[in-house]
Amino acid sequence: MKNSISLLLGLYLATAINLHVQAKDYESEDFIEYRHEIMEAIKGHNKAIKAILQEKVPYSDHLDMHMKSLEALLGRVGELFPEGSDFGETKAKDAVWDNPEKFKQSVDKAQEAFATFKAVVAKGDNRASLDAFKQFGKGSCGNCHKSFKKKDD
Amino acid sequence: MLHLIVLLLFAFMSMGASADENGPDRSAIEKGRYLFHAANCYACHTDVDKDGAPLAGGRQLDTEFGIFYSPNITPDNETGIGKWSDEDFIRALTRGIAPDGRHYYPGFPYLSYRNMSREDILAIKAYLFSQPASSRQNTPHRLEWYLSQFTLRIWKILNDLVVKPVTFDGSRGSYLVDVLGHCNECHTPRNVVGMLKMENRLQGNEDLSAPNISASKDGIGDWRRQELADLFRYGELPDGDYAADHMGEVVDNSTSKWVDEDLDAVIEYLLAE
Repeated sequence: MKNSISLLLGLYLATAINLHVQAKDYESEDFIEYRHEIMEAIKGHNKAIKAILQEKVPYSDHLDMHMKSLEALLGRVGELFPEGSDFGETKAKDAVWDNPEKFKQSVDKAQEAFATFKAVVAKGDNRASLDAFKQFGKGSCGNCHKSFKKKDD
Repeated sequence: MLHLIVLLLFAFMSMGASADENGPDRSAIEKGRYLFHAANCYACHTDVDKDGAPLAGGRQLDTEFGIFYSPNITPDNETGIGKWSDEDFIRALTRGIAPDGRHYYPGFPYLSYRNMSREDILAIKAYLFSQPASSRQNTPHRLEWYLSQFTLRIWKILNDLVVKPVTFDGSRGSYLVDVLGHCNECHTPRNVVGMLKMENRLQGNEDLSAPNISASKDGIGDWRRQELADLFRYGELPDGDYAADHMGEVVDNSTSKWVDEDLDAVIEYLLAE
């Protein structure tokens, strides 16, 4: 009996501490900044891929690295906007949290657009890859920003 | 005999042509579809956020003067524009006046559309009338206490007297930017009563977070042609970001649908300004 009470008390405390940590994280500007940095990282890889495909830089052997990084980051975007994180200085529109299903569809669409782009890149035709990159950008970042990002001030 | 057959055949074909004229004119509808996109009617007249029916209105536009709700422009006879004549439609687009005499608030860009050709206006009407009707009732605007049809009429008179009209130089680029695309409505600053300050045309409107797109150093003067093309086609900005919010919609619904010649004309026009 004593063991059961201790176990329940332990579980209660663990849950309470976990909730407290989450709430603390959500209240922090660090959370927003982290989200922003992930978005900046996506932008950075996007720009790097474009520069490589345009042959503006001699780093074609970096293409695979940027593609893998971009794919990994795009796969995490949905996690960055959990319920209750609609606070602070953010460019995200209320629609992200008001309509989470629609937002999820938009994130899924971005990942599908990346898969299409990746398939074209795998064929090794630079010109076709550059065209596919533009379609990918419109169908992923562009599509999401249209509905879920505020304009710059 | 042969002459008679040819004559009869010609008469028959002419009759067919007459019948077509009474029905929907496919070429006008197709032309209207292109102009409809160039004029970006879809974005304001469709409540995308709430999955509203296309062109059935209800889109909420928050402004410092209150909340406007766009009207239903489907061909429904009761709730839309189904009973509008050609002249009704032309008057609405060029003078901002509804068939029942009510004036539209300048959130509807008739001050830009007023330079649209009659033929183009009617092509847009033909396209709208080819679309499915929606019986969605219009939502009344929720405006500040001082706004009414009376104050709106005074505003319109003053605007015509005091403010320089929206520019149109007759070129294709100007037609797409200043008339159909109504870019000035967002990208030109306004005075305290919402009149466009055309002396600062396309120099940005902070209230709307609309950037300076004039051909100056503070605007897009340093942009390359390809950067502008990528923005209009794909929403891609030179810094690697993508157009957001209303401009994202403009790209999606309007500029990405321009034919190459129109894209070139707009770039030429914007960079020469």
